Amino acid sequence: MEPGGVNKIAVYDGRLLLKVEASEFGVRRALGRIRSHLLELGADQDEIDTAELVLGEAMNNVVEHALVFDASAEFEVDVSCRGGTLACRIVDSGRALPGLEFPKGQEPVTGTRVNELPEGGFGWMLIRELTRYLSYSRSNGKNLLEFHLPMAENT
Amino acid sequence: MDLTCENHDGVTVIKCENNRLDAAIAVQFKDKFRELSSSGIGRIILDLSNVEFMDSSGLGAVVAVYKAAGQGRGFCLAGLSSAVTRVFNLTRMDTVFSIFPTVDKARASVSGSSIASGSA
Repeated sequence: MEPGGVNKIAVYDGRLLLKVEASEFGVRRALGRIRSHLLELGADQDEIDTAELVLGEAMNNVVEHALVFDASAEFEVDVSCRGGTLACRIVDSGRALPGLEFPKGQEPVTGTRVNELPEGGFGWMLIRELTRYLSYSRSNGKNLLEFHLPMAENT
Repeated sequence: MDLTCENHDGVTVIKCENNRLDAAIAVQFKDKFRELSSSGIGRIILDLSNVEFMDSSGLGAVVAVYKAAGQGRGFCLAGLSSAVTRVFNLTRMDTVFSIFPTVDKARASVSGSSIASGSA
């Protein structure tokens, strides 16, 4: 592993495969790598911001839930850009999502009293709002989260 | 986590000097904010103009400090970047907070006294 907790495994044909240290700082560094990769591919600022937000939420979920008891763990992130889509896959060998389904996430809040405002649950809400395709499966003790983000055709 | 605080004219301006308000620093943000806001007086303006990236943990931390310190004192946000604005819009939290383009505009509004004072 390179210093900084992110190991680039491969980059080819618009595809970037990373091994990420299961910590919030590992996630930050991975996002920096992904941001540079998307810039090189010619993605625009909005596309990069969206990718950073959604991938950050998904990776932090892995760190804070699936691998929460295993600080030395790593997981894999694979982003690949083709035909107007950024296809993202995250694979970890941590705990399964409860009930093997996505948490519902916080419902949009309106008219709530201040002291009743939610302080969490926004992550899944953002993932659901910003992805075009979203799938979770578990096999052989591994979680696989896949989602697509829209990109310009020429990226 | 780097927060700075200025008190004058009965307004406390707390500025986030970091360019990321994310899961890595959300807890420290809450702790530092509580410490600074408890020594300040009057209404609170949270200046986020340096923040280029905020995730759901950062948003949760802003909600938490609003609930803890903002109620009864008045609390508003200033200087949201386009990426930060989008997080507020997507989660509808833009309907909960008073949001101003700049600290100066927030100050002007404070002196005109219309600022969120606890009833969202």
